[in-house]
Amino acid sequence: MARAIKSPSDEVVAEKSRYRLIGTPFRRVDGRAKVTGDTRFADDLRFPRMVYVKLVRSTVPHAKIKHIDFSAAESMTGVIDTLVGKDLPDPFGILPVSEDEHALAIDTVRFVGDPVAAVAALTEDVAHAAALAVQVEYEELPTISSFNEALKIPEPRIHEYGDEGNLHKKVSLQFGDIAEGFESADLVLEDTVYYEGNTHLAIEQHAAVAVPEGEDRVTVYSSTQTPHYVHRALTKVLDLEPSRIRVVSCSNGGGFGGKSDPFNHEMVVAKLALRLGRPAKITLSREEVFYCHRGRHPVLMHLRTGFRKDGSMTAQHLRTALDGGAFGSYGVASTYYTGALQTTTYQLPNYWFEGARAFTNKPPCGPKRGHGTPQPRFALEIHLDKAAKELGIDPAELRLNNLQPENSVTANWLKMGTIGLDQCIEAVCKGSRWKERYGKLPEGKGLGLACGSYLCGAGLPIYWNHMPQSGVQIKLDRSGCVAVFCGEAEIGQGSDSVLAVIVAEVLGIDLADIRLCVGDTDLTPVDLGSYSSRVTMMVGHAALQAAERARDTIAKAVAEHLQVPAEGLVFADRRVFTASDPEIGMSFSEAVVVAEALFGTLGTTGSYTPPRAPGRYRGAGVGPSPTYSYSAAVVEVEVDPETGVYDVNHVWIGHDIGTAINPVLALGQVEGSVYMGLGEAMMEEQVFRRLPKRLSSALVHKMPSLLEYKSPGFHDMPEITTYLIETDDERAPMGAKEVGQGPLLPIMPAVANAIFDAVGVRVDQVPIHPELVLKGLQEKAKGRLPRVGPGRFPDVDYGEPLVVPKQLCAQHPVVNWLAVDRD
Amino acid sequence: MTDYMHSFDLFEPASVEEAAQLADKYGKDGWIIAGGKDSFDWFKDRHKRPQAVINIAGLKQLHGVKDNGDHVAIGAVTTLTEIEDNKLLQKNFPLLTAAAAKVASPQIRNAGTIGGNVSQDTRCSYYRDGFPCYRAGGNTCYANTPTAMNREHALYDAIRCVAVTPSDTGPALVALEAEMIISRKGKIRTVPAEKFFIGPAVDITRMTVLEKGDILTEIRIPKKWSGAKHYFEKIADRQTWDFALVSIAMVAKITGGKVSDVRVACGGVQCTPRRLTTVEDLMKGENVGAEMERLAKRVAAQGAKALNYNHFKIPLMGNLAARAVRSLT
Repeated sequence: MARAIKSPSDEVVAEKSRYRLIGTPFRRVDGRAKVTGDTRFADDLRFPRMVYVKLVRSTVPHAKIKHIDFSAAESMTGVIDTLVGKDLPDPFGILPVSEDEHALAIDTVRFVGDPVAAVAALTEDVAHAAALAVQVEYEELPTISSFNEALKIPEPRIHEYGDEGNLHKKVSLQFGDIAEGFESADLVLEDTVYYEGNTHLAIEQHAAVAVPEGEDRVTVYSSTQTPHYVHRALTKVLDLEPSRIRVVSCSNGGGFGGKSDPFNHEMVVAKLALRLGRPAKITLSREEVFYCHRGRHPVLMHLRTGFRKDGSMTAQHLRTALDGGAFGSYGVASTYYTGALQTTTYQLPNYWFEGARAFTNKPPCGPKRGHGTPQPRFALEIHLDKAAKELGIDPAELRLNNLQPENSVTANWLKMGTIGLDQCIEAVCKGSRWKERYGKLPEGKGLGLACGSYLCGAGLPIYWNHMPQSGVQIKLDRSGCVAVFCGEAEIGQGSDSVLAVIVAEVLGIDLADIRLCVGDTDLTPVDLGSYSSRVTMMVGHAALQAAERARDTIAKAVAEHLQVPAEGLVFADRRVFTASDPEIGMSFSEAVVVAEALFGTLGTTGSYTPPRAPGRYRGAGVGPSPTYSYSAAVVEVEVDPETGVYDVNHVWIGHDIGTAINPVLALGQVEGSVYMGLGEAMMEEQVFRRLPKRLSSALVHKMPSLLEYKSPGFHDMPEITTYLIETDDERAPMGAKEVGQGPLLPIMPAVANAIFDAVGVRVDQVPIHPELVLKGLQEKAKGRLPRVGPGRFPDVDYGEPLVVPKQLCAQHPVVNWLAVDRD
Repeated sequence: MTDYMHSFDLFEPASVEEAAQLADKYGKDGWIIAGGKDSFDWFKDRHKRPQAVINIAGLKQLHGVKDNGDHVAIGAVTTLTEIEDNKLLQKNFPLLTAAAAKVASPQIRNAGTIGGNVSQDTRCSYYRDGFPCYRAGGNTCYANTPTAMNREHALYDAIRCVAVTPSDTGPALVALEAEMIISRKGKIRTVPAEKFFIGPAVDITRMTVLEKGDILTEIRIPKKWSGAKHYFEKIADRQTWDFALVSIAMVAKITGGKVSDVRVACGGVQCTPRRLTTVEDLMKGENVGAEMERLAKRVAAQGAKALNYNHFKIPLMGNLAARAVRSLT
């Protein structure tokens, strides 16, 4: 069933739904507090006797710390305490295989912005002045600015670990018979494509407040997407029992992956709060947020694909080179992700993926919306556009003819769920009048099509364990209020609303009857956090289970009380009643009273662990998901051939969401993805300036400011028509798939493809600045190949490929990629 | 690390005279602000830390647009939004209102003034980031090294410094032959717009003739170009809140199909708005048409010297000049 929702003004029309609340637009549960300013973000928190903390950050990209002089800072009135690396000697990092960060650099700094020391003072002004007054003496080391430099310069190493020299991670995975695949091809295409790095640009800067409580106990309030992982990292760094640390995730003013790592500033304020016995707060400046980064990896890619005449793929060899920045972060996973989801949209029987990530002296890259997937997806979708042209097949046809079947297993052992990609493509083609207009618009105007697919939650947790990935507790009592406890973190995506509406739906009550307690490691059951588009899937399942258990308990009591069968009871309109005669029943709160009298204090739990993925090879941990979302987009551009400036006039986007729990929120996620995607396609770049050697070879951010980091404004936004495609996946709670990340994926390649349709210029890189289009047009005018993009792909030794057998070895134990990588 | 404003003494003078006295008294330790759009950036980055900040935004004498018969006078603290919306300017000098409408964003135009827009400092990212370059009193141009990122930088007159003028109204005022009225210790002097902007060869530490103690009080535009045909276009990375990669401003008078008089200036290509005199010369006395367009395109960027990453500005200038000519047909 496809619902066409045209944004932004058209009213969303809810079709007849099998649910009471789900599927109908409702006001998000945190909406009122957000628009009235009642929501307390981490930076809004104030406590008596609170001190303010600032970090002293490295001004050089790679150096040994010789000496830190605090004398000027300590002499300032109001300075309370200072902290250096050796005060917090234990390393941390989000992945167990790359715990390479310290709260403050111990003896080496690795990028401009790497924290070296901290200062606590009575006011923020004094803390700031004192931090600037701290003198750090460095002995500079050679710096590495790019993947190619890391390849050429194995010594000195930025880290003492990693697969080789300054290469952090190398992967080579072969699925199927590559040689045979290419032999059977009628056409072999090769492309070298570059995807520039960019950052999240969440509107809220990171902030954290630590409050000491009693003896050796601390609470850390933070703008984090992953309170549980922050809790783990704090336990390690503070060397305290986990039970002594409480992490509370405040509402995030946007995250996009930028707040999913445990961060230096969180460790520092916790330590200072414990040491000083008074609350400590830090709020990063916008400049510092650019240094925290963890954004999109710059990736150079080489793609070689065999096609048959009918457009089907026979084999593909993908090589990726990731510029990882100075730390591991999620980088090992990012490396795998540049290959993992290449197989989920179109049939690809033989696939060879090689990926490598380098350490460089720049802020660490990590997960940004789409985590490692937008880059190869960009390469694949422009590659397919070229293949379609070459083979004389319509790009939409080529895709539709080769879709991966539902419930199948891909070459790299990913188990597919429902696939609504055909409906997505058909919807956007119909909306954009693709058949009549593609390739036929006047010179300068063009249409481009691209698709994408994303996880609905990563199959495995970040660290190896056998516990659920999400838990929900429900408390009911005679008030009729239902309190729902869950460790999830609201980052603006609407996770609170999803949690609340699922419980309300099952218990037949209103959203106003629900009270949420979320993202608190002391009070709520563990949920791993808001990343990998996992919340609706996993929190949803856990909430559904807990709510159904509560419903069953109440039904049992009511049935006994009314002397009716429990199976015949209906929970709706804040009442519990018999289906045969709605008059026989009671209000929901009366029902709770009856149940409480019968069973005593009421509480239920629910939890969720994703199904085991079929892949049994080393590296199989990245890519599996309970099911996958699908998107297709058509972008219309108008190129000004005299300036290279292009306008995106209209975007039609179809997204297979399974079930839209709240169509309006889903629409917001789709439109937000389009906006972010256009930013990446058109202008956004996190780039660094290299100074000449005689001037220290420093690598500095081009301009860490909101003004100079170019992101689109209102005027750059096109009209967007969204089609929510519902495939009601049984693997998902209420059939609902993800919508937070997937819709981003088709945008960048669709823009590039549309520019080709408009002026015949291929830009094989993003961002596509106007001058690249202009350059392509100049080449075209001179009769040369109208292509702008990277040159040759470097010679990387990815090591012996791991040849993955086609047959599944069922008895082989699950190999965890993190645990295996560690030894 | 920075991103945090230092403390300073704020003065709100009640008259131009008082402002001039304060400016004179504090000399190099003083700083004149009006909208503060450029100044606060500098203060927050802590690369400029004046002791005394003199706010002239409240001076009524410096505010508003007046018809003085042979010229229109614009007070220096008139906001860009007021200029954009002013009927008198729209009627007489639509080139200026078009340029003002392209500055930054609506919020910034609501606070930013015309005086500030022409007096603002360059956006060179090295200079803005506090590197000790020539412009900042050091001995290197960081933006012109083999590894430098200089996509936004100059094609012309890059003498030790490759910074460009960021002003959108600057090229329009140069084209319109505006005059800048500057007050210093009660003395008034008048400088043509074209001379108001200065390049690194004149003084590498300044973008305009304004020195410490000077206050730009008024901009006068002679009626000479009133009712002339005009063309303004700004090419930038995004359509709002951005500085020009290249902009073009033109006024032209057409008599009997021929160009009787014309002035063209470009922004974003050198430290000052650049008059395209060769384009003007080839246009004067000639018939408007395809041939003029072709020639304008060819000569517009004559003498340009590209850096590593700004070659694209050369065809861009040519195409914009051609477009300006085309607009006359």
